[in-house]
Parts: sequence; structure tokens; C-alpha cells
Amino acid sequence: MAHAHAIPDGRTERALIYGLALLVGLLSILPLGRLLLEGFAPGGNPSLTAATTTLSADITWRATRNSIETALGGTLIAVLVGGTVAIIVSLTDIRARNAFVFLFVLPLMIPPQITALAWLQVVGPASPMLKMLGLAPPLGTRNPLYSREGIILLLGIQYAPLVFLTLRAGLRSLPRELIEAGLSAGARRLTVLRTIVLPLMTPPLVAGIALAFVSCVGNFGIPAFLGIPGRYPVLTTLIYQRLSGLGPGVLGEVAILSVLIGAIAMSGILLQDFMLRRADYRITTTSIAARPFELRRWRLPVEIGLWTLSLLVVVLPLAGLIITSLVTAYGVPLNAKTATLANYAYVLFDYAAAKRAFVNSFALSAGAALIIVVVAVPLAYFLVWRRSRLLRFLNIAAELPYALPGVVLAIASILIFLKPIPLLGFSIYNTVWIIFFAYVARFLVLGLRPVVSGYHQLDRALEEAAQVAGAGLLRRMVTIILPLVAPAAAAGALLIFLTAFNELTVSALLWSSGAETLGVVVFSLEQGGDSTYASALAVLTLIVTFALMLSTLLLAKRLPQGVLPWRD
Amino acid sequence: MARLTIDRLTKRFGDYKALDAVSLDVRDGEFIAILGPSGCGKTTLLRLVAGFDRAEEGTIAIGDRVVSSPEAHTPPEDRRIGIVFQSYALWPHMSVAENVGYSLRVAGVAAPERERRVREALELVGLASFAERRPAMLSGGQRQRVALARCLVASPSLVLLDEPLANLDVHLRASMEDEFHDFHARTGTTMFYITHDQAEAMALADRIAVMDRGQLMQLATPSELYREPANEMVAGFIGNGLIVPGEVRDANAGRAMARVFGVDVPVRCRPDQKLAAAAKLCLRSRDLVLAPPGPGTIPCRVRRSVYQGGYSRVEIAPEAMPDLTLEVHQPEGDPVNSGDAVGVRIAGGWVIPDAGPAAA
Ligand SMILES: Nc1ncnc2c1ncn2[C@@H]1O[C@H](COP(=O)(O)OP(=O)(O)OP(=O)(O)O)[C@@H](O)[C@H]1O
Ligand SMILES: [Mg+2]
Repeated sequence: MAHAHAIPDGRTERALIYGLALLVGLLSILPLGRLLLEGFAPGGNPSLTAATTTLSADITWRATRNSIETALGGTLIAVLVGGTVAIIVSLTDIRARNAFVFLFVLPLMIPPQITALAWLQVVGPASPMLKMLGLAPPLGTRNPLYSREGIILLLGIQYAPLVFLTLRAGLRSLPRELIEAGLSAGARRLTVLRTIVLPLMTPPLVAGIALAFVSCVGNFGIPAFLGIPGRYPVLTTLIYQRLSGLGPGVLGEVAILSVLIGAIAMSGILLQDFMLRRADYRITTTSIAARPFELRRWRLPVEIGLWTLSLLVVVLPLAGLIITSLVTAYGVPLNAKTATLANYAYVLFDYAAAKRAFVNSFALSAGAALIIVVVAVPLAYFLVWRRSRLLRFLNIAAELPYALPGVVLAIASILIFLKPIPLLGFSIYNTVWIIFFAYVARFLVLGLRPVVSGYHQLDRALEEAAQVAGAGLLRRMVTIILPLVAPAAAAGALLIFLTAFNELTVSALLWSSGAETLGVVVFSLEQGGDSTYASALAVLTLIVTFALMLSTLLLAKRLPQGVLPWRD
Repeated sequence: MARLTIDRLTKRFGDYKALDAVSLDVRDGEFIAILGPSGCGKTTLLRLVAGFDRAEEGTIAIGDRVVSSPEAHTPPEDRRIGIVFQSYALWPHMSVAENVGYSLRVAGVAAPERERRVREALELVGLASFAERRPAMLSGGQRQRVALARCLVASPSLVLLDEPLANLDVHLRASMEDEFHDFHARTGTTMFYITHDQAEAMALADRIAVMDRGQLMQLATPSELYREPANEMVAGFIGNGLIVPGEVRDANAGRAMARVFGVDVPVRCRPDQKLAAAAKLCLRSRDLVLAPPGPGTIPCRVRRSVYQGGYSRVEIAPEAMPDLTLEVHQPEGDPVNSGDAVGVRIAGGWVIPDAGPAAA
């Protein structure tokens, strides 16, 4: 018998896996490792001097306490609002569910800094909206949002959709027999809710709480717009102010602060991970949703309540933002005489930084989306269809830069790229490329997750059939797999684009003159007191965002369920 | 076309042996069915033959090429086999013709030649006019035929089929069964056909390999399996054989006299069957006849009688062994009731050669 010609089993495969491992390592392990090194062994020598100095400073503890306070408060509001809405939407027979969900999760796609900017236009003595309605408080009154409570309120509004989505996914996979068994045992609907539904929903609820907490801790946009003027520092804004005020000289100190905020977030991540592991709630498309509870005469009041709520938290601030963007000067009421499009004309045509920012943000987001999809398709292939310890590790590694607060990755990127890149000899610090690196690292998982769920819904036999037809790995990837996961990959790319296009946290720390992003320009306009320009620019970015979101509804049918948060 | 030689193949999942030293020799052009209860390792065996998984021990050779051994493993793409999957696995983004022509395109066959062969393959399964359709627009049976055409177009040396009819309704099954049969007769391809449906296996296969718990129980022609099961598992699994204890008293050239519950019964046996005090016999329902209790009959009690249309299926238990259930078919017009004492006459049977798995 002739022996099998010794084809080294899957040489391409191994090369590909190691290539991907290297890439994920560069994007995730290297930055985080570098940050830890800086924190505990600056310059390579183990030393806790920097750590102890920073950690014993008064301001560190004030900011930490403020961070935790606002995060807890924001989480509480997010859970109350998001949880209640999730239960009502999932379990009752309210009408126009899809439209409501779209509206309710919208704040998730509105960047925090724009949320903050918009709310600032709604309240406060100079609010053109209140002036228009004749409700503005006397000038000189402090804007009530410039406070701890303001930050908490807006964090809660920002992340209520996050809790909503986690809980909704869990409620959807709740087998309806469990509810029906409770009802047929004679329990009232509220009793079933209390004794059956809620206990079963503990894991997704706790996961949602943890996720909201981590997001609140890492949020920069809201405390930057509200806390900096209100002299209420949190860790993210403290890092920003130190770095932008004193320059790279304080890198050692902000590295410690980043490790600190990373550690706080990590406790939330671990809790969430633990809860999600306990409850296997992959969304199964086959499971039939429970028959909704009929609200009967309560239906209309409940519907009115829900829509009022979402009009309050979504439409009201957007209206405030639009009104401010249309007046000649901040503090002027909107009427026939003051209405103008000059603010739009200015940010579109006259203000060089805004024009650059449009180009930069667009190119950065599109470029990151493209690169990430190219990496995610083969990476998800191995994650889903091959199993090994290396791959499990890669999966976690890919999650980290997104799970941890954005400032952590930003500081780590500065540490890596402050000096010229070894061997290559040039530096990308103070260029747009450092932002690009950070975007690819941070948003990798946003592209990876939809593709992974795309693979989960593919019949593996489709690939095996190509394999027995003689097609090698790369050919299968291109001719069979790519076309089949393309819709999921497109969804991922879109999610990345939208998130990056509206991003502020990372670019606020990494931008330089000529390498501004839209988020940075809105931020600096507002800081300079140019609220009307800031609002106009914010409205423009929102128009792009909403247009892209709506366009996805067209290809919605071809997407795996649960990859686009705003699609119910 | 090629023979398939599987030698002492063992596959473990953790410490569970999904395949335990399975040896099997499929002749060139043979249609072989792998039959066994759910979870016995049929799919595992097929995936090893296809090369999707690797075995810890044993070898697989297709033709005279060893494709799997502990040292070397030929990947599926280089095995030149065809597979029909239970789910068909047609690529939804390609037309029927593109699906069928894929392996030729991979092999770099020029377009005119490729089109000719795709047309031929589609004609063979009677779908020539469907070439431009998408798989989503075909019926279940048509998809099945496209899958068949796709795996045949490259003239594979060996075709593997994993329960290809399991997803079809009863009527379609019967007609697809005929098609597989005709197809095999026409092309003479070696077929390795997995099923858990005995009737399907009997109708199609030249030989059937019965598996149980990862082991090969018997490899034989359908009639041999039915008439001469090698062990208790096969006897009970194929055609619901009844197994009773007996004493082989006198065996000679394939005929024996056995004593069953005190009655002498003429039975068939292996030519080399030895006398045995504690043997097992395989009986078929049609070998049993109910009679009034009396000499020459085995005293039994009726458990229950189920009318089946034209006859009743009567479950009885020998008085000497009340835990054992025998089934008799009782013609209409001669009813018995549960609790009745009856006698049973045994017209024939088969002496099960041994208790362990047969050497294939
Ligand atoms: N990847 C795997 N990991 C662990 N155990 C497995 C795996 N694949 C199969 N098994 C186990 O091996 C045994 C044989 O499985 P196999 O799929 O070969 O059965 P089968 O004969 O094809 O059954 P069926 O008729 O139900 O398709 C089963 O007990 C199964 O649970
Ligand atoms: Mg199987």
C-alpha cells in the first residue's frame, strides 16, 4: 500500500492561526501589558513609588469616589428604567413594539458627549429652548446639570438601553412553558412575574447591571461636558485633564490612574462574565415567545407612559440640540428673526478643523471597519469551528480592549507609540495613525461578535461539502464562507463605523492638530463656549448616524438575529 | 471506484470509545449500509472515512492508498470522495449548476468541459432544466438529487451518505430509494450508506454492517443477517428476533435439534456448531404457532392481544420463564384473551453462534 503523501495537516491553517494570534496580541496584550509595566515597573525597574504617590494623592481618591458614586447612581437609574421597559416590552401585548424599541435604544447610538450637549440645551438659564418657551430661569443661575446628580441622570439615560437589551435577550429565550405552567397552577400574572420570571432572569439582570456599571465608570463624554465645568472630577476626566494640561511628563501618573479605573471596571466584567456563563441564553430563533400578557384596559395608559418616557429621554434633548443649532447666538430664543443656518454653513465650509474632522472620522471609521472585518472573518472561523486553548485565550484577549474603559487603551497606546517604533524607526505619535491603531484594537470585538453569531447559524456541513469537493482552506474561505457570513460581517462593519464615527473617549487623549475627530471638535467647540456651532456639528453627525441605522433596516431580514441592537 | 479498507479503527471522545476497533472491508463497487441504533457511532465512522476527524488507532485505506493512520492523515480535500449530507448542505448563494460544478472549478477544469459534465450529472438525476435555480427554490427531493449530482460530478472513488433520506417524507423516501438503487446499478460507484432504517438498508445494500456501541456486530448480506444473525444483538435488532434459551442436543451439517422449554425443536445452525447445554436461539414470530395446551407444546400464558388488521399480535410468556415475551401472529377468527393458557409449537429457528461480536 502506498502511504498518504505527507501533507502537513493544515499548514495554511496553522500559519493563519498564528498570524491572527500575533495580531490580536499586538492589539490587545501588548498595550495592556505595556500599561501594567508602566504602572508597576516604569522603565523596566519594579518600583511602586509612582503608584504610591499617585494613589496617596487626595485628588485620586476624590475622583475614584466620584467615579464609583456616579457609576452606581447611573446604573441604578439604568436598571430601573431599562429593566421595567424590557419586562413590559417582552411580556405584554403593547402595540408598535418595533418602533418603540428602535426609539428607546437610540440613546445607545447617540454618543455620550452629544447626549450631554443636547441636555445642556434643554435646561439651564441660557437654553434657547426654554427661552423660546419662556421658561428659562433667570440668568446667573447655575445649570443644574453641572453636578453629580446631572451626571448620574444622564449616565442612567445613556445606559438604560444596555440593560434593556441584556434583559430582553434573556426574556426572549425564556421557554414559554415555564410561564404557562405557572399560570395553570393558578398563579396571577404578577405572581408569575415575581416568582418565576424575575428569579429566572437574575443572571441576565446581573449581567446587565455589571455592563452598565462598567460603561458608567469608563464614560468620558458625560462627565467631560458636565463635570469639568461643574468642578466634579471623576477618574476619566482627571486623566484627561492631567494629560492635556501637563503633557506626556505625567504619563507614569496617568498610567496608574488607568490601571485603577481598569481594575474597577474589571470587577464588573468578571461579575458579568460569571453570570453569563451560568445562564446559557444564546438566542434561539426556534423558541416560541411566550404568549403576551394582555394588559386590557391598562394597555393604553402603559403605552402612553412608554412613549412619553422615550419622547422625554430621546426627542426632548434632540429638539433642544436642534433649536440651539438654529439660533444666531447662544442664549437667544428661536423665532423668525433669529433662525439661521449660518452655524451649519460655518462648520461645514468655514471651520477648517471641522472639515478635517469629517474627513478624519470618516476615514478612520471606514478603515477600522474594513480591517476588522477582514480579521474577524477568519478569526471567528477558528473561534467557532476549531477549539483550542490558544483560541479561547484569543477570544478573551479580543474582548479586553473594548470591555475596559477607553482611556485605558488610549493611555496604553500613548505609552507604546510615544517613542518611534522599534526597527521601523518612525513615529505615529501625534498622527492620525495612533487613533487608527486604537480604534482597530478597541472595536475589533464589535466586528467579531456578529460574525461569530453568523457562524453559529451556519451549517458546518456547507464548509465540509466544499472540503470534500477538494477546496483548500483559503478557497473555502473566499468562495463559500465569506458569501455566507457577509451579512453578519456587514452588520459588524456598520456597528464599528457608527461607534467610531461618534467616538470621543479615545480620540480626546490621542488627537493632535490636524488629526482631530468629530467628537474632539464638538468637545472643544463646547468648551470654548461655542454651543451653537457644537450643536450644529452634533446634529450633522447624528443625521449621518441615523441615516445609516435606518438603512440597515432594509437588509435586516438577511442578518442573524440579535446583532444590531436597534433592531428588535 | 475503489475498495475501502478499515482496520481496527478506534475513536475516543474523552474516555468514551465512540468506535472500538472497527474493521470493515468494502469491495470495489459495493453498496454497503451501516446500520445501528442511535448513538452507536455511525456518523463518527463516516466522518473518519471522510477525514473530518482523526482516529487514535487503526487505519483507513481507499483503493490502495492509506488515507488515515496514526502517523499520517490525508485531509478531506485530497481524498477524492463524495458525500451526501443529511442536511444536503447545498450552498445557498450558488445556483444548482454552480453547486454541482464547484469541485470541477476547484480542480481547474476548463469551462466547456465543466459545463458538459455538470449537464451530464444533472441529467443523471433528472434535473437538467433546473440548472439556474437557487437551492432555496427546490423541493426536498430535488435538493437531495442536487446533492447527489454534486457529489458524483467529479467521479469520486467512494460516495458516503449519512442518512440521506431522514429528512424526507415517507413517499419521497420510497422513490429516492429507487433512485439510489438505479444510480448505483448504473455507475457502479462504491457506496457507504448510513441509516438507522432496516427496511432501507435491506432494500438497497449488497451487504449490511450492523454496529452497536462503537463495535461492528456483523457484516453480511441482508438475508444472511436475517436468517443467521451472529449474535444476540443482531438477532434482536434485525426483524425483531425473539431470543430464547435452549440446549443444542444434536448438531450436524447445519441442522440441529434443540430442546426449548422441554420441547424438541428442529433448528438451523452453523456447520461447525458444537453441542451446548446453554445456547441461545433466535426465533421469528412466523415460526411460532398457537395450539391448545398439550404434549409437544410449550405451556404459555397470554399477556395481551392486539388486533392488527387481518391478524392479531399476541404477546405470550412461557410458564417456565414468565419474564420472557414472545410474539405470535394469530389469524383472524380464532381469538385469544389475556390470561388464557395456551400452548406454543415452534416450527424452526436459528442457533446463535456465540455471545460476543462476530469476526467480520
Ligand atoms: N464531538 C463529539 N464529542 C463527544 N462525543 C461525541 C462527539 N461526537 C459524537 N459523540 C458521541 O459518540 C457517540 C456516537 O455518535 P454518532 O454521532 O457517531 O452516532 P450515530 O450512530 O451517528 O447516531 P445517530 O443515529 O443518532 O445519528 C455518541 O454517544 C455521541 O454522543
Ligand atoms: Mg448520525
